[in-house]
Parts: sequence; structure tokens; C-alpha cells
Amino acid sequence: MTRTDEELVAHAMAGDLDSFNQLVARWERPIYALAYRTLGRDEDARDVVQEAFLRAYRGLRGFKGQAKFSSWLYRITLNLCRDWIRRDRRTPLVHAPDGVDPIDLADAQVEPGESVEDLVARREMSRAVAAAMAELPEEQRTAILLKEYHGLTFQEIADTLHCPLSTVKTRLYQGLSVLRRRLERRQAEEASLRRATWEGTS
Amino acid sequence: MCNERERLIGYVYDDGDAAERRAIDRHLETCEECREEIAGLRRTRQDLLAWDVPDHDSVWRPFAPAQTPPWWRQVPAWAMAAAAGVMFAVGLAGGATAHALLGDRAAAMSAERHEPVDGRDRVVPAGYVSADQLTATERRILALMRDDLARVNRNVQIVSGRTGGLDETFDRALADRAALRAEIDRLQQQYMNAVDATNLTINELNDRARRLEVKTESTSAALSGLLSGGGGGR
Repeated sequence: MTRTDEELVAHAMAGDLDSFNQLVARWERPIYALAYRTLGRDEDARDVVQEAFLRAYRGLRGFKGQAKFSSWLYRITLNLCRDWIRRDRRTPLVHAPDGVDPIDLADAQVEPGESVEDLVARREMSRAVAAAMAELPEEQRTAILLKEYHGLTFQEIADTLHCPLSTVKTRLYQGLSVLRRRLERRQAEEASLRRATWEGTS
Repeated sequence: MCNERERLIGYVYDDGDAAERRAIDRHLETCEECREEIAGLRRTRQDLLAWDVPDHDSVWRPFAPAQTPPWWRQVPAWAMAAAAGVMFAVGLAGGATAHALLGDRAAAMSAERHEPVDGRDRVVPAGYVSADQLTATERRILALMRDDLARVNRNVQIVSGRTGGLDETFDRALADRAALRAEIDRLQQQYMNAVDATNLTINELNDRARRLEVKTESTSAALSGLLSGGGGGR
């Protein structure tokens, strides 16, 4: 029978290392995704994941269970990412959408029924989203990450970020609105470029 | 509502109570601007799904349960050092004992002498040590080693609080050695039996050959007699 996070935490606190290993196996992927989308570098994200779980293990006794284990873990990860960015005095790195690398394409997972053109478009959109997200203020970016990619409720985000519910909604709305403008502008520019290319070749 | 668009965010995420949703639904029926705003936010949410995260192997090296170290790894370093010192002393004592036991023999072995060999008094050449001497010497060395080991065992027990087990190991080694010797004796006996059987066979063949030779000689003599007798009659 699958044990809940809280049960695994209780066993880990009693010294059962395997229970903590199970928690890591369960949450490593989401924690990596959060770190990667916050920092934009695979290597940095890996370091943060390792440090986050080590901190979680060391701090298990301080986890009182008033929040979900995952929320607690997200908070540790976000704090680490913030320290990481401040320490390196840089903004999250995002690769500019500078064309498509054929090697990337070879490695890419093609969804069932997806053409190569669709795959190229999806990867370009992925880069565009990453670039637009990187330019958002940190608090808006974090709220969107937790809502869109981790499915937290408004209240869970408020608990994780230690801010009022209304603030969470404001950050989400403002962040989404900025993203919308940037992505729509990009799409308009691409459409214009395609039109110009088509007219130039016809 | 157009001036407080943060209220729309719950609607975009299908969150909020039924009354709030009904109020927004009613507003959207008449407000083109807010309808477009909500549709735009939903499209943006759709675009966000394109942001992939690279696949990666686990970066976590799972915690392994602590291994219980063997008892001798739990002995403090100072105790191990003390035990090592005792062992060194035992080695020195063993060397001195062997020297004392074999020193006189070395002088005696330099010349031919009369000594009991296999229970009989015989003249033994220089450098020869009889099996009886070796057995007696071995017994004395083993007895001394056993005494020393008992002493080391007690010291190990004092410093580590555990039984050293050296005397048991020693006894096992001796038992193994005795078993090996018995096996060698058995094989030697087999070899000797085989040699004896071969010797018997050779002796028997020699007897037969001698008997055949005698027979041949007598036959030859008889034949010579017949030939000479017959030749005289002719």
C-alpha cells in the first residue's frame, strides 16, 4: 500500500532512511522542474535539488505538519533558488530562441501524431515562454510556476509564500497579463515575418 | 468589475464559489472587453504548457542504512595499539624461545653422534635431526605458543571487553593441521602398500623366471643327453 507523505515523514523522523528515500523519489521530479524553471540552468537546478532534500532531511524535526510536506519542500526550494540568484547576482538564464538545433530535434520527444513542424513550433514556444517568464518579477513568476506547473491552490500558494490570498491572485493576474502581451507580440512578429518571407519568395 | 480584474483570475482557474461565478457570467454577457480578457488569459495558460523541462537522471544518492561494524572495528585505537604491542612482545618471546630450543641442537648437529632413531640407538650423520626430536621440539613450541596466546587473549579481553577468541582459532588451526597430517599419512600408507604390491609382483615374476630358467636348463640337459645317447647308438 502506498504511504502518504505525512506517514513517510513520520517514519523518516523516527530514523527510517528508506522512507526519506521514497519521499525523494516521489518529489524529485517536481522539485527539479521548479528549480529549473526558476533558474533556467540544468546544472544549477540539480545542485538546488540536492541541497533542498538535504536541508529537508536536516530540518525534518522542524517540520510540524501544519503545512503539506510538498508546500514545505517548495518553500525550501524557492528560498534556495532566491539565494542562488542573489549570490550569483544574475537573472535567470534563458536561451534566446536562436533557431532550432537539429541535435535537439533528434533528442526531442515527438508527441503521438505530432509532425516535425509541430515539434519545432512547440520547442520555439517553449523557449519563448521561458524567455518571457524570466523577465517577470520574481514574485509573479513564482506564483505562476506554483499554480501552472505544480497545481497548488491559491491558499496553498499563499501559505507557501507567506502572503495574503488576494496578493496571490493579484500577482497571478498581473503576471499572466504581461506574459499574454509578450507572447501575443511575438506571435504577431512571427506572422509578419512569415508573410514577408512568403511574399518575397512568391 | 472591469476595474477590478483580479476577480477574474479565480474564474480563469475555475476557482471560487458559485455565487462569484454567476456574477462574472452575468457581467461577461454584456462586457466584450472582459470576455476578450478572459479568452486571452486562457490562451496564455495554454501557451505555458509548451515550456518543457529536460529529462534528467536522479541527482539523489539514496541514504543507506548504517552498517554495524565488526566488533574489532569498535575497539578503540588505543586498545588496538596495546594489543599490537602485546603481539610484538609475543613475537620476540617466540623468537627467543626458538633460539634457546634450537641453539644447543645446532651445535650438536655439527658432528656425527649416537642418538635414538625410531626407538633404536643409531649413529646419525652430522646435520640429521630425527623424527622423535622434531616431534618433541614441536610439542614444546606449541605449548609455549598456547601459553602466550592465552595471555594475549586475556589482554584483548581486558581492553576490548570481548573474548579475543585467539585460543579457539589456534585450536582449530591445530585440528586442521592434524587432519592434514592424517591425510598425508593415509596417502603415504597407500603409496607404501602400492610399492609393496609392486615389489611382490616383481619378486613373484623373478621367482617364475628363475623357475623357468631352472626348467629350461634341465630341459636342455635332458635334450643334450638324448641327443648324445641317440648319436652313440647310431
